[in-house]
Amino acid sequence: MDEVVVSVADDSLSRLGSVVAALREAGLDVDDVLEALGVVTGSVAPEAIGKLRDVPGVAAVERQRAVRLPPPV
Amino acid sequence: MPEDTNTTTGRYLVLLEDNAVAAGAREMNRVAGISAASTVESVTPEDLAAADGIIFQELGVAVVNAAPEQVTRLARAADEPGPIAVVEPERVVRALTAPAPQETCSTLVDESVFTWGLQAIGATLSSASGAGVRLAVLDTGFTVDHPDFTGRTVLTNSFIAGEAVDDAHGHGTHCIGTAAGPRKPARGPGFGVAHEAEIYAGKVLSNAGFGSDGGILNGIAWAVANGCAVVSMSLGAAVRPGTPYSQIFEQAAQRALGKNTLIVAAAGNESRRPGAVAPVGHPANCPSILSVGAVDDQRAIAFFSCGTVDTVGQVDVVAPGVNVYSSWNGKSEDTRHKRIQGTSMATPHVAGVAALMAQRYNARGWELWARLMQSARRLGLPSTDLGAGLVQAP
Repeated sequence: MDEVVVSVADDSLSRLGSVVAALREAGLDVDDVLEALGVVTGSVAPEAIGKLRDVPGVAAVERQRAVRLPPPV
Repeated sequence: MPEDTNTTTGRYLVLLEDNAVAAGAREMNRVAGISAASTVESVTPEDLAAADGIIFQELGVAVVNAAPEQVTRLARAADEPGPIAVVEPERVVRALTAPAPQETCSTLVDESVFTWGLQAIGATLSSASGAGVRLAVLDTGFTVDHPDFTGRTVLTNSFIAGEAVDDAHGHGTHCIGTAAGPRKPARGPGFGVAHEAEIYAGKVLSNAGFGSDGGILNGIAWAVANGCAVVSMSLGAAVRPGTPYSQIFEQAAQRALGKNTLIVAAAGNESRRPGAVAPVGHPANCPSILSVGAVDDQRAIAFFSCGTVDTVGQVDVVAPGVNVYSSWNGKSEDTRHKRIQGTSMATPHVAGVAALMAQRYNARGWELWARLMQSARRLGLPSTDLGAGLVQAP
């Protein structure tokens, strides 16, 4: 499973709930629905990432990056 | 070799502890590979240029030629117990016959009352305090029992599974200290910019300093939901030149701005100037996240500060990020404060100034962004390094 973040398009924010339901249908194991940002986090099988992108109302799907403190200098 | 400037020579002074000249010489060799010759007499400039360095035995001071990474190692040694006490750039000294250059800010560093950073951003002259403004710092957490924050409003939340918000790293506490710590700490100069702001400390990096996009977005959402005017993020992932920014973080940042929350983030520490300038990292490279580079106490760009490399992902402003004194996570008098450097230290200076502006002008979101850019002091260096310049308190 890949950890991903999904953003919902502006014109679909009003129906966030149904977009999340469709994401689950497409294989997303949802961790959090961040309503304030219109972002959904979760994990999905690598081969299903394309299916998430095809869900109506989805603006973008990205694999989560590892983020860290900037290296000490 | 570091570049020489009008006020520094490119060489460094190393102060050795009393009666520790021999031990200091060994330690400089051990940590930085510097073989300094010892002398009791004066030396010629040719001698100085030829050697790694010269130790003035009577003074317990060495003058060394050091590359940036050697300086870093020496500085680290100075932070720790041992014969190396202080490392500082060698200054150019002039006779006081010429008229002083037209400068609005002094190049003298007097930290007897306030840190050089607070002075450089004009916070010491501002009557704004950040009172009533909520400021979030997303980092390694917060030292919840730190005496610097006694009596302050601090709300905490951990987004790291299995770790409480308490900051076993220290970095988060340092950033919170700069953004919103005290003006009169128990020890050392005052350092907190928005010293009466309400603090939201979100732990999105583990005690080892690692996190992921999901945790950071969670932290941002928490800050937005709580009405924080500003979110300070001294974190990131290095990117290669030409890497597109994250569409998701960009959209999240735009939505946060629309809900009156400004996100500021560290540009990154991957440059090795003057030779190499690295691009602004993720997520600071998103156009709607205010990215922050670092300057030193001579208003020069810090050697490590990332710069504008691509057509998007620019540095927006700079702030003090070298030799920054702030809170640390120790439990003793000696370890509750620390001096460190990085664009991580510059970022909370900007967040603090944003909180002061939020109070003074009742500004939020894009208006805060505009006011930061409008008032930033131009420094006569490339905009690709400085953006609009050095942020200034209202």
